[in-house]
Amino acid sequence: MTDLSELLVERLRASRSGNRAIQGFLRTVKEERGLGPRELRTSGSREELLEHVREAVAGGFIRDERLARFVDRLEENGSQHIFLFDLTSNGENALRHTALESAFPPSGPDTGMYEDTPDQPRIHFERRPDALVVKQIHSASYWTKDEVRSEAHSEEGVRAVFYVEHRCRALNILRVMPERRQAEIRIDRLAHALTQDEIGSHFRSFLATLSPVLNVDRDLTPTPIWQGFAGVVACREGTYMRVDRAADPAVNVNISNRREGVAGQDVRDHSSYRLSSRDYARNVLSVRWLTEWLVGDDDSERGDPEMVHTTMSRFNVDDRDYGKIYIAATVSPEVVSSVSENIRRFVREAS
Amino acid sequence: MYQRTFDALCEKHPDQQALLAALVNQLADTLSRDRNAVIDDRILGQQLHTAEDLIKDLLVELVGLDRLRIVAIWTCPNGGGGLLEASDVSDFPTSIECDYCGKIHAFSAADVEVRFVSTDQLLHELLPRET
Repeated sequence: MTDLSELLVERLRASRSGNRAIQGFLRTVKEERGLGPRELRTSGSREELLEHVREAVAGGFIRDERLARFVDRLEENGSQHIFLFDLTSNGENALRHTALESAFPPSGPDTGMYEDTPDQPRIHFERRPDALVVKQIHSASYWTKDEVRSEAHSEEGVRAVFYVEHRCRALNILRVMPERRQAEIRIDRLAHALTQDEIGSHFRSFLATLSPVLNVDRDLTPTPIWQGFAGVVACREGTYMRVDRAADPAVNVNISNRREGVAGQDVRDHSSYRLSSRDYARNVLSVRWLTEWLVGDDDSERGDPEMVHTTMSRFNVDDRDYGKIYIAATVSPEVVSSVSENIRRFVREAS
Repeated sequence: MYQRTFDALCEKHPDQQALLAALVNQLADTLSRDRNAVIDDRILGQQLHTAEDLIKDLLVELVGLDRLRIVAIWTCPNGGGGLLEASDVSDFPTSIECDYCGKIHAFSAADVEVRFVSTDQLLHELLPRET
């Protein structure tokens, strides 16, 4: 095992994706190599699966590059805030692969790219079949309230609130799809939900990093995903909604399910639900997409949940509205792509 | 099929047959609209013009008869719905990311409501064609 492969296995251990994704990866390797049951095992707990990966690397069945691609797949899809854009004419010229490659030289997988909390941020360009990708790997921080310490330091008439800073590995990604004249900026949600201000701050910071090639006002037009919300609400086949908030000229309406997860009724089935009318507007829409509807199968090999929870919003940063999709879970690239394609379709249909 | 649940309650409360019939009918009506609905003693109290405490006692008896299940529901404090359910409050994590309002909520007993949901047995009795 090289230092790199050890680090890659550590990344799998830390991955927010489920064991099914690692099992699916091992099964694919096993099939491709024509290995027998004893040559490569593909089941067990997370630790056992990681041990199987180690054995496969040591046995020469998985090379570091292949393992790195799998780690990238897990890390780059989901657990993100995804901003959708169309390329302007300027953007088509500015974001050509030659310009991106020159500004952010490509790099093969190395240990610096897969450290838990890199001392130095890394940014590099990759030309992939489906997109031109600029990927930033860095350490980011978030704060959580320390309830125990806050309570311990509070006394009669004085309330203390303590926050603790946590550092973690984070990926921010620019994806440019020149043939479709589209782009995405993906901001890591970190290990914890970010506040709206923190998301805006991370977004601005990544734009500053990309500034050698990207002028977001000049090169990208935010996709007005909120124009597609009514279409999503009307799409009953592939979606499940447990909450809806909308406004008409007179009132705000908030309807939410009382049960957890998908245990309760889709709010659109409730007798008092009237928000499917075009008279209602929304800035935020939370929807669970059925994975089977998105990608045509249950995607279990890829480790995706059966439903993907997304919160789509009109997100304002520095007086400009952006269309943002938040996907909390780690999912496959196919699911992310399908969610963004579907919302783009609803926007087109609305215009 | 309502009869079994009704009879089971009547055995314990022979003097309250009218209320018990109304309660069982109301449960059937509620579950026919949403089989996963929360059975809420406050709402039943209003619907049946009956004290909540009495309704709650009857619902607890239905738990004993395996017709209902008690569930603790951690709800979004910002007006959203149910975030997480558990049979015991101690099973809840210390914090949760809210898929209604997007914020992180620290656990607070004030955000937990303890209600009832139906069991398969009750659904089978009240909604035989659907189960």
